[in-house]
Amino acid sequence: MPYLKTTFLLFAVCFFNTRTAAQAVDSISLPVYTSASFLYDFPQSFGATAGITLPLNSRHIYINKKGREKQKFRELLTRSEVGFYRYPFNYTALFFEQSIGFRYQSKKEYFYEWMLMAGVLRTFYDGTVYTVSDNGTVSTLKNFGRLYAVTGISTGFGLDLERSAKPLPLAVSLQPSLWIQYPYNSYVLPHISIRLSLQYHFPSFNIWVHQKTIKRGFQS
Amino acid sequence: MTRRFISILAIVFCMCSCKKETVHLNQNTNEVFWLSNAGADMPVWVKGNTASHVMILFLHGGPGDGSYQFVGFQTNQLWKNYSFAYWDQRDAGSAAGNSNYSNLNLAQMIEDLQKLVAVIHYRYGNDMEIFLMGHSFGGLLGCGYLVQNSNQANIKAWIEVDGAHDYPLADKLERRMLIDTGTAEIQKGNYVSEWKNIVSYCKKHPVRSSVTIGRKTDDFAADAESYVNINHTKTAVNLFSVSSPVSLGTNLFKLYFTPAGNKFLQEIITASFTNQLNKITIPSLLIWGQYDFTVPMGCGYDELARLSSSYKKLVLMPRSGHIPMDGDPDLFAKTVSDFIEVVK
Repeated sequence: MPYLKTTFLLFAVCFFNTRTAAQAVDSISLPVYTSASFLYDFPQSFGATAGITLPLNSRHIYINKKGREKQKFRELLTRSEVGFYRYPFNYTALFFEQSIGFRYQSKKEYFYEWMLMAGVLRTFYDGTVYTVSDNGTVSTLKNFGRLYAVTGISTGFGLDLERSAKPLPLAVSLQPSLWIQYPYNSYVLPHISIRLSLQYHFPSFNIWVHQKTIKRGFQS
Repeated sequence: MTRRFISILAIVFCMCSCKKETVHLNQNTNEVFWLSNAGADMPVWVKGNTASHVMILFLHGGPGDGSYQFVGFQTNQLWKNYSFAYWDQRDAGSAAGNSNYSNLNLAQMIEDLQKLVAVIHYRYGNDMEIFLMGHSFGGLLGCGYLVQNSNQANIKAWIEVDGAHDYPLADKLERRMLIDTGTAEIQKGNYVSEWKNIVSYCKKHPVRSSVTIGRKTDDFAADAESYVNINHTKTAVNLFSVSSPVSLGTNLFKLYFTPAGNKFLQEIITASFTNQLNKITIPSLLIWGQYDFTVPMGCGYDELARLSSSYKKLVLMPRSGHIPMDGDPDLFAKTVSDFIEVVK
């Protein structure tokens, strides 16, 4: 019985060796993107963000499926963003967010990404904010608002023009996101937002990251 | 020279920071200010003619609903001659704050209102005549405020719109009206299965012994309005053009599905100012939807009999349910306007 497992593994290695993936690790220079976004927070708030996206590592995956070769890229990204949105007759919010997540891309210019986000948000109320002491004295509070933590998840669907037939150092993407602001009235306030983002790659503004090359479905 | 410049700059800075904000009264005011009190920041949207020196301070219902949804066709006919202050109560509408659950109770909300009235007089002048208008839960809050201390001295008149000054009474009359109307409608053959369901539920649950039963009964009361053909002109587009369904939904969810929210709702199930209504002496106008199942007009008659006001009046809205400004907007505006012209 103890040999049964070894025999099975040997059998698997011998007969299914074409399914194994070869791996190699290299360094690669990848673009750092600066971005500007138009933000719409459902149902009434409009705003904008600015940020920078850094690649942390990359996987270049070659897939051989029934003789047809395909290439896929998966990059681990981190993004820092500052932004604001305005809720009319209510408040203006300034925020800072740090995100981490993956971008998936094929050889073509389209990409998909998802990211986890955490940050802080500060509100500034529209109009004067008053407070009244117990003896009835009214006073105003300057630049009053509240500080909140924010957490959320976002996805992105985009077009990377650096991979187009006529390469341009630009990418555009649409990023829906779901995030919560807390503690809001001792609870959480959910937000549904969408961003239209334009990303620009300054020439030679690249960083070197590890790239793992993986081959799947090739004869070893 | 530099020292002199710095001194002048410091004096100018001090003068600017100490200066009271100048608020210009005008015929088309459209502005927001906030009251921050006991952990809650509450917005007040002021619309209309502040130059008239008449301000209708609107106390919304719910609790938790918010007042911004009434900034629109329901009340805009009155903006030409008077101004409205739409206040979002704590933990309602767009009111914000961090950890403020311990202060979610009726006594605190009455204190909020006292402070808001002080702010309105500070901001718009002591000659601004405040007409307090309470709708539904706002009726309870308004009565609670008026019967306390010398609060009436700051208010010109009281306007109650389908208000619940006595929750147990409103609950009793709600069930009675649902059962009586339901029985009659079943005999007429109108919405038979729907009415049977309502009548059966009301008979099985004779008192509002829990928040869940109260919510279910109130849902039936809202449904009942459509079974007797009360039109609701308020659409989702109207509603959400000025108020956020996200914060509204969050506030309502919090009220009904968290322990702190439930504690507050449980508190108001038994709230009543019936025995203190005789303390109210300022002119009072009571407006009631004839087909209001939620807070039936019996509550209006009860209040009318108990008020000590030298001028008091109850006006029924013939095509309305719980929200007369929605069902009879023209008659509502005329009734309020006539009342203000008489007593101001």
